[in-house]
Amino acid sequence: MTRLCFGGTRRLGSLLFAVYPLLGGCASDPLPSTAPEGVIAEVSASIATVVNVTWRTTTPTIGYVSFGPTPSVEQSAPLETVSTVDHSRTLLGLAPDTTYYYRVLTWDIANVTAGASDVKSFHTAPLPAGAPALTAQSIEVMDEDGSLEDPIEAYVIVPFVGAASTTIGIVDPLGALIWYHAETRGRRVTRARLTSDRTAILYSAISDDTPADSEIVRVALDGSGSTAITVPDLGADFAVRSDGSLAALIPDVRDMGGGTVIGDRIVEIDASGAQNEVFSTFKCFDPATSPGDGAGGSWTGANALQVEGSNVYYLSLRNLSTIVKVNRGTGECEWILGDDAEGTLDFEAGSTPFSHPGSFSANADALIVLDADGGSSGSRMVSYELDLEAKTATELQAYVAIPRVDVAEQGEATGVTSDDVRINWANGSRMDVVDPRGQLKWTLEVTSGEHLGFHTSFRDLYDVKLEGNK
Amino acid sequence: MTSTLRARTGRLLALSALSLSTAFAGTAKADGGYYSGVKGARAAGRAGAFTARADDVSAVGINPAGLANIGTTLIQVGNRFSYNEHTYTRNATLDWLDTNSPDYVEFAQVENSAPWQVLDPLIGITTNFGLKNWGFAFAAYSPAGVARESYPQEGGQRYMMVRRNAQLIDYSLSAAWKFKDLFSVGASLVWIAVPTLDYSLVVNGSPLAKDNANGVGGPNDMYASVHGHDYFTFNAIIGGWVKVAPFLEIGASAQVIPSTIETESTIDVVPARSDDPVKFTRNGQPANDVGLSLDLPMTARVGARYIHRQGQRELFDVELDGVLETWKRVKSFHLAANKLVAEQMNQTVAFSDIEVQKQWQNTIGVHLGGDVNVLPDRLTARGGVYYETPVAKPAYANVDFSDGHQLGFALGGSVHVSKVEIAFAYEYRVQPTIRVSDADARVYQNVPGSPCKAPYTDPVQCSEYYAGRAAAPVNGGEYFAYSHIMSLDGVYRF
Repeated sequence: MTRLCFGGTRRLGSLLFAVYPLLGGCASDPLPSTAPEGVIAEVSASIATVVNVTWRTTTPTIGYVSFGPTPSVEQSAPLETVSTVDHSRTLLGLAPDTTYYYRVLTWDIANVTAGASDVKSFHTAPLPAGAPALTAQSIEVMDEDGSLEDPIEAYVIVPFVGAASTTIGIVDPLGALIWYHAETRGRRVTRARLTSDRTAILYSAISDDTPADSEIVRVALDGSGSTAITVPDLGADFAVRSDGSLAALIPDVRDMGGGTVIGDRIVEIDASGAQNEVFSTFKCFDPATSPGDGAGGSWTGANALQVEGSNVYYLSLRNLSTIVKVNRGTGECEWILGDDAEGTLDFEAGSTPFSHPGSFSANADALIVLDADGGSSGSRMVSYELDLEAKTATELQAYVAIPRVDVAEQGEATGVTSDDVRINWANGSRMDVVDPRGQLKWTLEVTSGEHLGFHTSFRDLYDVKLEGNK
Repeated sequence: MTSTLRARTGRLLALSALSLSTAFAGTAKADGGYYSGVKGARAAGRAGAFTARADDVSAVGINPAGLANIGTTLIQVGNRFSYNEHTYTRNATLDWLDTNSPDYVEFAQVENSAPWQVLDPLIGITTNFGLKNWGFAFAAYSPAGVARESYPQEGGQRYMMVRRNAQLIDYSLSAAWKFKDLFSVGASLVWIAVPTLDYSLVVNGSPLAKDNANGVGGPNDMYASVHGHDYFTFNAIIGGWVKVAPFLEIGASAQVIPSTIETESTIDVVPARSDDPVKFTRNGQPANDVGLSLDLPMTARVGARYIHRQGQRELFDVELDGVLETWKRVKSFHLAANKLVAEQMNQTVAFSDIEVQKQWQNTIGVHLGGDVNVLPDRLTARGGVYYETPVAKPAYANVDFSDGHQLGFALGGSVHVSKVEIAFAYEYRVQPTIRVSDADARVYQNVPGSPCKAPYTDPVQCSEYYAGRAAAPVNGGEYFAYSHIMSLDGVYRF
């Protein structure tokens, strides 16, 4: 029955008003629908735990997706920043082979109007065969005041290095593999990082057979594909600069008195793959006075790189048992810790020097490093307070794994929070988080046996804050 | 005692009693806006179609010219009982306190929690003091309307209004003169007293408009309540009446003085989500006085009444009235803060004026009603219907008054016993559902400390999510209102 209504576009003559009560009420025109339309969730074909949600709106809006394992949809992917009518959002952090519920929410800025879809559901796919098997454990610990310390909530990106292939994965605080990509070409993967725009993961794919074909591979988090930049002779580590460009370790091979000496360079790489050298270990070290203990002509053995701001690099030189701070603009070493001949900082009395450092986390006044061989009970994490005026490094904390782990090459120690430290035991197939008093708070074990490459930690899947500027 | 003496004594007693009365009483001046319907059971039973008939105390407000035709002394005492429902469901919106993933917030329906209005009396007297062509009246009344509305402090309507209590008392002194039974003129001088005018709502007390802009609720929400009074506002009504033919009478009246209620008020502000008190100062001294102004409409009525007689006896009448009310005068409810400074937790914020946007429009009402003498001098039946155009555009819809289309019907009657008439009426008044989108909504959250100024596009001071708007719109949603109104009057003629 056509209802007789006042207002809106169906204004009637006043003579009809007398029959209003008999018509069972009347109303102004219904509000236009602001709900997003065509809402679809599709599980990525390449990543079982990544889901792309698309929708349309009749007016330009910004929107986001709430989701979760229950219809209350308590997690969310962040809000779009640009208004549009065709929308796409990638959901991360999903468990495999699990039903999730989701809802799209929109905001029309011009019309200050919210919209919401119905709550719908999707089911993620199971992990592929060969995915690393992980177990994680969180341990409640008390701080010095007797209060419960904050639990570990950070995610970690790490290569799981297997005998035949390497899986680059993101592990959530519960130890679940929530994102993965398999490198099956026989390349050696040492490091995985996030891009500066947080839309993809980069990893090193080193070809030991044909070093000129080595690459840094970019894999979109939404599973849409991968690209690569060829970086001939790519070394063990690379870093992501805030402008999106890359910095990488490259061997610096020179003839020195009839023999070949393999030092290391830092090169910056733009989007086209063009390289620009900003540092060479020959600038601060002399093979004659700092010969190192590398084998096969490897001299400095740079194995880890960290960028800080726009003008600073930190570099770990495994064969010199040294960590150095480099001024990008001048290529000079601002400080050197470890090398007997060239060192500008000294270990304070009572502090145990590191030996064969792995990766590290450094800033103006502190250094955390995976010390492969400096401890007496296997590899250890050691942290130092740096006093640049006194030119000293004072050991603050050391931690060894139980059972003992002797890290062969990679290994890494980074800050998780201002207090906690994440320790990557590399070939120990294990990762720990300890508090400043050495209390174990979280541990991850790779039960399928893969070793760990250098990792990157971050707090929020959708608003990534890299720990220790890594 | 002679009959003349008894009559004079009765008039004096009645006037004395009336002069002592301070109770609310009412008659109709206007029908929409702040008001709803008419008072006086005889007028209400005809759905307000009373401008030409105007033959009881209700005439002081509807058409004072009718007083000249009453021809006797009449005391009218009555009361109006009403149940006034008003519901509102706010549109869902996003809570921008979390700008990464703002919660989608749906609001529960709220309704007026003070729907009953049981004390709404009418007291008045008319007499000609023995002067054949004259009529005089004195009445004390409160305009017909919904005096109180109350909603949850946490309800979806809270940024529009939480509570209001408006008690208006009009004291009217009227006189009318007629020429034979052909035409008459009359006038009422009205003294409007407002002993209580309270209005409260929630405001966003944040001085950081950009960061704290959201229409859902935040840590700086404040419950602001204004309490005031205004005892002296004057107005006047003039009217005329013409007998065009023995079966046709025309009546017209107008309230012609533009007047404004300007209260002396105080404001109290209580944080909704903290215990830290808010203190007001002006020029460094404690102060919380503010001014609240409400414009009153002018009105014009005209009515044509057909009278069907059998011999000299009136069998029935039908009257059609048109009413124009100039509510366009009401642009906003304006609270003048007069440079108050609010202080909380050692932070001071200049407290700007509070505006509840109205942008009302003139209304036209059409009333059709009449009486039927079922049993001559014993029983009268009456009824009517009416329609009034909306006083507010949907964009300015609010819960404080029923401001959309108004429709109603009325049924009533009178029982006559000797000189006493018992009149009763039932009226159903309804505002059909109004739906307002947030895009159209033009009542904004009040943010008295906001540095975001028109045109509200400064990216530093204004929220990008409400760009171009003073703040979050807060009146989008669905409104519905209705009233059941019973009137019961006693009329004594002598």
